[in-house]
Amino acid sequence: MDDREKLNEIFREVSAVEEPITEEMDLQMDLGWDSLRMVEVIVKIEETFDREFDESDLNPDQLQTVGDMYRLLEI
Amino acid sequence: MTMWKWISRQMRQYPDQTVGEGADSLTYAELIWESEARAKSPLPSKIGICCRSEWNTARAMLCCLAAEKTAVPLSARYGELHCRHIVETMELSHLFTDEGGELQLRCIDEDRPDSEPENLTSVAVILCTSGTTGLPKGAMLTDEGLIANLTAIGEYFPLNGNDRILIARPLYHCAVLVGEFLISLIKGVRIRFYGGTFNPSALVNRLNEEQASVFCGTPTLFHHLSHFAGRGGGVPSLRMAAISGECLTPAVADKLQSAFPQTDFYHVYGLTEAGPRACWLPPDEFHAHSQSAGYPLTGVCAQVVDEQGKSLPPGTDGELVLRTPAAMRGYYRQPDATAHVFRGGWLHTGDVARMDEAGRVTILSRLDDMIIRGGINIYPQEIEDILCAIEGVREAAACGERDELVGQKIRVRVVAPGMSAAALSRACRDRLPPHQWPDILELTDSLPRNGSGKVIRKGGKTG
Repeated sequence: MDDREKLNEIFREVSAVEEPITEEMDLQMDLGWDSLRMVEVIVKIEETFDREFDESDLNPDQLQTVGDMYRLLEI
Repeated sequence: MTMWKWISRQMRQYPDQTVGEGADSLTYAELIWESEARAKSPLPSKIGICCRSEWNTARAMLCCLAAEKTAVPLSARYGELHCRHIVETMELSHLFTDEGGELQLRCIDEDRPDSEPENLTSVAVILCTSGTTGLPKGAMLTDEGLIANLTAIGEYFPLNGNDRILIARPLYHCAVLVGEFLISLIKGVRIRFYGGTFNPSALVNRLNEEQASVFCGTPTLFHHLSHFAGRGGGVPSLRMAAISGECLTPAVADKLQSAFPQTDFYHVYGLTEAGPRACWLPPDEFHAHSQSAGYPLTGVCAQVVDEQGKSLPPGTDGELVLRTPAAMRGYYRQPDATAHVFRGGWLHTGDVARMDEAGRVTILSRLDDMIIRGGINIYPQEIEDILCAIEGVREAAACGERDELVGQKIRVRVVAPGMSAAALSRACRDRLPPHQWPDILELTDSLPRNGSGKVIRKGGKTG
């Protein structure tokens, strides 16, 4: 499974969506993430990808779409 | 004695201590002066508070106390529908708001009559909780009850004038208003409100910047903090932490103690109707008994009872009932709901619990279908009512499913012939407030029912 698929798996675990995950999807309006769910996702991403983000990486204004999350992980 | 007389007397012992948010702060002396000056204006008997900033909420709250008017906090986080329900149910004519940045009193209904149908004498605050009907109920907390609860909390939670608390949750919640803000004021604690969006990494950094010695939160919040603590900014050097709001698992308790080895953890329990605090666990028992919410506070009696209200022996599961001087006077204009909660002289909590031989209470689950997700109480009826109002949705059933990280996740099953999963999903985002968005959303042909045709909320897959 490549990294994008691994990430999409995490998104599906935390979101109530059945359709395929696309880059354009809005994290709030399409995946249904409030601030608490966003944190759940970040924690899972850090554990899965063995990464640590700092406060500046997690600016909600810059994390609005699935594409933004791909760019955060550089995948 | 009124809350204001009592609380301001305590605050006057610490005139130079400060409260604020960011660069905006006041000394206790200035806050007393401001509250009493605002209180001199003509004010209605009860006033809603709906501010973006919790610091402004705090100032509005103190103004209401100083004026001996009943405060009714709202929270925009729970959605416009929820706020409208509160305004209607509580029959509010005025709101304190901070649109434009400044705290001001707004009239929202000029036609609302001045007369007050309920006896609000000595009712300091009405705090709204949801219920099985989905409509908010306003728990009326009195001056006397709040003073009793704050006195009892002060006996076990050793705050002092050298402490610095960062308050990160809304004052709309009784545990935060009483267990964090008011208790800090009477003990002379430096108080700062965290005004940022929910970002545990930023919160850890702020705890370090503020050199906070005290922090309170849910197990979910502390779990998130423990994940982000220890990075560049270091581990916050908290002297004390109070944990409440949802069940605390041994795994999470162990994580917290590893992440914050210098911190005394107090696992506490309460409910709005009890004013709120009812039980506390001493920090030296946290390691051995972290799942327990501890012993009743001074003045509080607790029992575990069966369905007939008969007291059960230690080790037996039943409903937790309480007698406490801090109990609410009742629900605002809802005598039937009040009578249902106060039965046989006891306040019925709706929590299933067990008491051990030493008198420690452990909360196990809910008697009703209420879901607790990340420490937030969610009533399935509220979600179902909103979804069933969507065109195309025939019926819906919401329930909680156990989750290690957030306690429970929200699972919703919907019967909506002809509606696609994508359309349903989007409709949920559009209509429900964020904290009620389903984690698991299933379209189904029918919902499971019991023998008398009633929908069973919990349970397996349906056809």
